[in-house]
Amino acid sequence: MAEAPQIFRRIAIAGNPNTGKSTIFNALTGLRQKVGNYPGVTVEKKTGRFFGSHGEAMELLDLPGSYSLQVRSPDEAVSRDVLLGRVPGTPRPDAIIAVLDASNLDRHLYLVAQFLELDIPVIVALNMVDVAEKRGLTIDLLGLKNSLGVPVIPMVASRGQGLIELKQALSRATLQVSDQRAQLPIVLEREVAALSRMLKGHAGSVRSEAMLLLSLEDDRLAAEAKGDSTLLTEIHAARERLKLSGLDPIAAPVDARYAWVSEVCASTVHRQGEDSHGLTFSDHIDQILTHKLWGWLAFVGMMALMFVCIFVVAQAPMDWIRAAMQAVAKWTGAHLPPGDLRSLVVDGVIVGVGNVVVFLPQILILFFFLGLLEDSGYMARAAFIMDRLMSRVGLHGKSFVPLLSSFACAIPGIMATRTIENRNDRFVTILVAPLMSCSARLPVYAIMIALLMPASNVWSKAGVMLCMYLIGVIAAFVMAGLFKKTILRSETPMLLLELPPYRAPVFRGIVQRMWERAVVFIRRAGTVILALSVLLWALLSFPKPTEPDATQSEILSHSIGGRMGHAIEPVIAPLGYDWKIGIGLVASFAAREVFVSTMGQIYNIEDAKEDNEDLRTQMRDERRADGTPVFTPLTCLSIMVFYVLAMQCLSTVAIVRRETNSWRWPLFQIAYMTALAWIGAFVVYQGGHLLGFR
Amino acid sequence: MLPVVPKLTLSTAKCGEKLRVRHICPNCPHCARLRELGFRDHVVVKKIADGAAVICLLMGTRLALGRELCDHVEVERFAA
Repeated sequence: MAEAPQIFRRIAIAGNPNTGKSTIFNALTGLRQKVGNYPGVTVEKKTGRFFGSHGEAMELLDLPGSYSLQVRSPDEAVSRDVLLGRVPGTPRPDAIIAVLDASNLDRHLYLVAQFLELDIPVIVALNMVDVAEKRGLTIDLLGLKNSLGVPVIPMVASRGQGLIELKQALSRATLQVSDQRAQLPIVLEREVAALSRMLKGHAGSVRSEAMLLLSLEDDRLAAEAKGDSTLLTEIHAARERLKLSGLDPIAAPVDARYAWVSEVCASTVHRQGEDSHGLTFSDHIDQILTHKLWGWLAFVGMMALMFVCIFVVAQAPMDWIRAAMQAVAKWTGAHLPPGDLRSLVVDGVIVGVGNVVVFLPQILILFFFLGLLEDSGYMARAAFIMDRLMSRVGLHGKSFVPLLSSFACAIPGIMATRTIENRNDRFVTILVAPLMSCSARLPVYAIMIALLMPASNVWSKAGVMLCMYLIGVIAAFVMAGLFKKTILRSETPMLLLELPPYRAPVFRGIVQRMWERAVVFIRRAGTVILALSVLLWALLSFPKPTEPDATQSEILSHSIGGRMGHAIEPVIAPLGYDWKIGIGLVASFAAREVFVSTMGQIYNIEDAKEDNEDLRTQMRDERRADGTPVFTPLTCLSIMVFYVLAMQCLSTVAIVRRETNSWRWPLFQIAYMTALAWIGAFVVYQGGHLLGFR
Repeated sequence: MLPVVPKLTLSTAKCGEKLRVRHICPNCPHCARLRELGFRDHVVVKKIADGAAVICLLMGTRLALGRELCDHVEVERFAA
């Protein structure tokens, strides 16, 4: 077996959010980390490998974006801890690629000033030089290199420009630590040096650790000092001495670094024409998209357009997949002898998996639209217009970005909560994120809407779909408000959010993400859904009744699955569900879309026909004992509301366990969401009956 | 007696105005991050949009700030 090449150098990519770090990481390693045009796309470190200019193996760490090493949120803490060598099992990097937005040097150099204090070689990747040029900025690269004392590589990472030069810079035999840095006030330097002597570790990192400790707010200091009372006493004494000297320990280092940045920019950045305070293209768009009224209309309009496309554009490919699935089932049924094997292959595998795969086109369209929103820079604007609403429930607009991501899948949404500074606010957002309708709910909504309004036009169907998404959003707001007032109390945070400039979406990137999503979906259908379908087939087929002339309905009723459905029927009957729907609810506890495959299997086994009718037709024809249809409009609505509000996703449970570091929160989440789903479905069904609907 | 002139802050300043930061409060955890983002004394800032929150342009970056946070940023009108 070939040995893995020895790592020549470990390099960290760091910088402000939304500067193109992951784009450079992907270009160097050939990996496909998610990129997007909003702060907080990367929330944990990612590792990849690449070969330098001379074939030497290098390890690359993609770190979450950070404005400062004085961190405010868990994602920023990852960057700080890696760069200070605090993470067990992750050696301190040998070099840092500091990714800067060339059009905004006077702000982005602040973090470089902090990197230079770390005593690690730094290479500046000056990204988006094309944007800087368009804004009339001329950057003296040689002057910048001399001022910073580090190599400066001009780049346009999205087009691969500058990558070769970056690799060459990284491949140099030795990388020098810069001797350039911001000059701190002498009194502060003295205190930092004294405190450094008390700390253990690398010479470069202890100085930075000392600096961070000195400028921490009191509530964070106790946690960072880890109960070391001697250290705490010394820090408080140092602060007092600084204050007596007329220095604010928090503001002084910031002001010193910005003074140094101003000097560097004054000598290296030249602006042609007026300053940057004229309105840009992004500002003009923002006047509409962040407007109190137009902003909301634009948001709802975009969502409505997305759902219309989900119904219109996806219809033809869905029909093709459905026809192919039926043809395969028919052909297989005709070539296998009657019995359990044929039932397993046709009812278990083909119908079980096929009924889920048929929704792939709708899911891809959902991801296409979300990709457009993410790449264009709209996500941050959505968070901005939601801030007023979010602040009513004690959260700020920043919490809406993870919620919006949860429309695709709750897992990345929950991980994106790492950008939220306050622990209680983060937990509240985690608890309500699964209430946002994810792509796994689409198959359930789509089949129920098809039953609810078979002859209606696409706008009506899209309207019902939009209502389901809105019910999820409203439920998330209400529950967030409740949690903030009870179990997770904290002050309403203040909004502070960077709005990135609008950029034209990179369609190649969006299509690539759709392809990746399709692979994930097909893989999931071929593994989890297939396994659950086979298991469910067994549960719905065995044990068989002893009477040889038992009908298919009696066989189903006698099976383990049938008995499970009958067992929970008293609980779900008030919601308008029969025992067969109950089987679907139980089976879809692991994954929501399994409900559709379960229904397909139940009606296929029960009908035992060879023509494998469309599931919608089978469900529409289903009757109760009294001859009334099972899937009345009220039942369909009740099922949809149940799925809007229910947890029904084991992967989400696992990620909540990981992010909260406790089983308490995911178990609480399952309990409250199941109760909420039951109450919601009950209110719809019984309330509808009281109002005379059926 | 001279009338008391209320302090002009980023939340009370008019939209579209070009402003200069006079002062942001020290020892305030929220302002520490503002300071790191470049809100320092004498820096020029432009208020672009006003609503439940405020959008302002600072050193070429658009930032959305909650109104309460804007109250911490004392500004003065800046004649270009």
